[in-house]
Amino acid sequence: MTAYLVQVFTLILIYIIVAASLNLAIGFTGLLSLGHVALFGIGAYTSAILTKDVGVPFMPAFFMAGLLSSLSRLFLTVVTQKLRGDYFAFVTLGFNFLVVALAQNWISLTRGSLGIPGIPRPVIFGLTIKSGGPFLLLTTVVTIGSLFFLYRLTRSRYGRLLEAVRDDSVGASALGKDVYRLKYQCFVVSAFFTGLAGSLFAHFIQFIDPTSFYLSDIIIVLTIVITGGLASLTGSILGGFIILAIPEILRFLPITPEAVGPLRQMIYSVILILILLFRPRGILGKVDID
Amino acid sequence: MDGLIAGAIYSLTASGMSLVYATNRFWHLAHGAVLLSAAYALYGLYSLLGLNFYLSSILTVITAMVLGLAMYIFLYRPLRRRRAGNLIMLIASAGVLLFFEGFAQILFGSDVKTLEFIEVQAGINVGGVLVTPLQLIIIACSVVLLLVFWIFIKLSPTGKKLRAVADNVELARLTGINTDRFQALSFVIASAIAGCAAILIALERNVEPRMGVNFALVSFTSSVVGGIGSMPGSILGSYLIGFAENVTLWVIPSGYKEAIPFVVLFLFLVFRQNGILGVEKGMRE
Amino acid sequence: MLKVENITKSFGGVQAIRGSNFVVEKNKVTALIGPNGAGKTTLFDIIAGFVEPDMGRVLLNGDDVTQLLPHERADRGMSRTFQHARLFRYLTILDHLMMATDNADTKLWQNIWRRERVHCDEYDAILEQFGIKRTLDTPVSDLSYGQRKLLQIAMALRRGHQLLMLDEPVAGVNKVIQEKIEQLLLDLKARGETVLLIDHDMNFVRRLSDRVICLDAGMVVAAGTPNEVLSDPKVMEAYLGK
Repeated sequence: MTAYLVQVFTLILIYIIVAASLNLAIGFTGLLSLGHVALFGIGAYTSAILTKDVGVPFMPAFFMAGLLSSLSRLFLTVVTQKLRGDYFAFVTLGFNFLVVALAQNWISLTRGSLGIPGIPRPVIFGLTIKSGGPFLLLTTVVTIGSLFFLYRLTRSRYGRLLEAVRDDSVGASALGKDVYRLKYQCFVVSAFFTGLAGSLFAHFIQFIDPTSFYLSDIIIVLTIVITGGLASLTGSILGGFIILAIPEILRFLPITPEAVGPLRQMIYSVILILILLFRPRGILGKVDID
Repeated sequence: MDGLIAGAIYSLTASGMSLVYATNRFWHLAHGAVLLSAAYALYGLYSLLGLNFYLSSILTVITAMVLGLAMYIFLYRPLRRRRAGNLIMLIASAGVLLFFEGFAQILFGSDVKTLEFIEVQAGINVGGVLVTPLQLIIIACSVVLLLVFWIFIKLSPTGKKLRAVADNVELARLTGINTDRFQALSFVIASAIAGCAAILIALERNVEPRMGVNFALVSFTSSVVGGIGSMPGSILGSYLIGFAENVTLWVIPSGYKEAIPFVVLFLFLVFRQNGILGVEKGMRE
Repeated sequence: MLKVENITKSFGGVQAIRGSNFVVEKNKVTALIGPNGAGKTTLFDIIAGFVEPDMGRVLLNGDDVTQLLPHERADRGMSRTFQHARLFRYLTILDHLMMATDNADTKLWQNIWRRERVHCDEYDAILEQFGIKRTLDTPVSDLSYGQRKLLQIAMALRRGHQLLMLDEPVAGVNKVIQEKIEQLLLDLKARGETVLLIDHDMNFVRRLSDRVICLDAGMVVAAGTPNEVLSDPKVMEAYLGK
């Protein structure tokens, strides 16, 4: 039972990193960026390939995961810089399909749909991080670090400037602020932490394949962000615990294992729709997007 | 040939999505959920309950219409009344889509279902290409349906009012049109077409849970590529995507097929924002 | 200071600005007048870089700035306000004034590692000077229309600037605030600031400006001292119709 709880907790923390960085991208720019599952996947694959096939130690691989994810996001931002609203959302959503297709077909690198098994355990300063408690500790450290960075960022003048750009970019540029550069930075930072989370995920599960990064995962993260409230980091943390804990109850109900996935997806969708209908700002949200 | 079939099917779903966008100004991704549910309804009625195929088909289309209308009444309308923006509508609609995908998996399992109504027939040679009778039926159905739809929109009094709503909701309301009813109507019409599309898809391809998401995304792409708010545009876009998916198979591995529409979408949004036949409506924010 | 050369702009076949030329002299208050729809705000947007002209150039101190983005022009000393104040709905008065003070907020790393000391007295003094009777932590969504306009002018002044561009600073506000703003502008004039402003109120323009430029249907129809321009028959015609 303890082992099980440690597992669930680790996974929740990993998702909280992704949700908090997605919240930075959506809540502080007002653009519905849906490419985060792909970025998460890029981080996971980078770290897995580097440590397993290339033999790079965990620490550099971990940061490379963040970096490569940032670079991909930078590319996506350059391509989409003129788009807004629905179109931005769709193109970033499409990015997921592109990345999954790559993971499935670039067989020499990713082994395609066979996936990458046996991803080594992280080794930090000669210490192997075993699964269970030690891994939870590592995840906790990374989560706190990421959240601290994001907290400082959003609470600083920089964060307030981001909010200003979100609410009126014309007014902000009249004050001499480079609104494009701000959006770029915001997305890149967001992608960096998502990539780190991806790396943690790969070393936690120790096996990844393209199906781990499918569309339905974006709904989980989006539900966390919207339930917690846009532009509220505390909201995303709270949302993460609530949203990810609910479906765990399913494990104790008499249902077949195959039904768990779809049922979970249905629960997320229902929560998402109910929140949008009855509490559009989420639990702790302060802003509306339109 | 495969491109033509794909285009014929896509054009049905895309024109429905385009109609809903025109009158409601948001992307009804859950159109894919209507399609998905209709396809499973047909499978359930015909293959599981053993009803007559034609009766099942009629019930399927009715199911689709009721579902589309229900989504409008119970989800979209309340959201709009709360002044929800386009992005919120989009997220809600994605939620519905994924809900039905999960639901279909639980009810019918995640494996691929086949209808087995028409046994595989030998192809006939038409101008050097092999075509099965079913494929001809699909293309004919698609063309006839769209033609009827187009005539209805262009000529009937209801169609004219529908176009007025699509053109400018505020203005239409001021001239005394009950815009709410016409917005609902566009859901019913779009869903009916989606129901027909679902029957054709079930006959030609298979029924599987992921078809909802796939068709929703392809329909969106087709509408954008063809030109937003333009019905001929969305049909043209559908055929373009259909061909692009199949032609590219010659050069790149089939695993990339799902990504193709998005590559096309990418290129169009970056280089030709108004689509092939589009007007600049709704493009910026 | 500012030179506008041959600016032309059309929106979907309608010519909004047709070959406008004028200069704004240093240390002078220049008023841009003209009937509704004459293209005053469009011209403003072109000067500040929010709208790209089809043809023509904008020169600031002899440098061609036509290709520069709005924020780059702002950094070169163009400080503008909008007809309806563009404020950020979830932020406070203090946030706004700080944002106008410098660009330290655009630096990501610096903002994460260091916490800046805020000199509230300085900002309180600004509120005092502008007669905004609110505390610094008031969210701008609580301000009245007039207070929003005052705050916006305060922000434009707070920015390092060479040229102040005010789009209808007194339109739509009550008498008290109108007088307050006029007094502020007269002070600016006495200090030798360079100002370009748009307004409708002839008497206001007469009291305040050194030079007046009249725009009609996208063209400059008259330019000169207030008395010259306001007695010009072409200006009367522009206002009263042909």
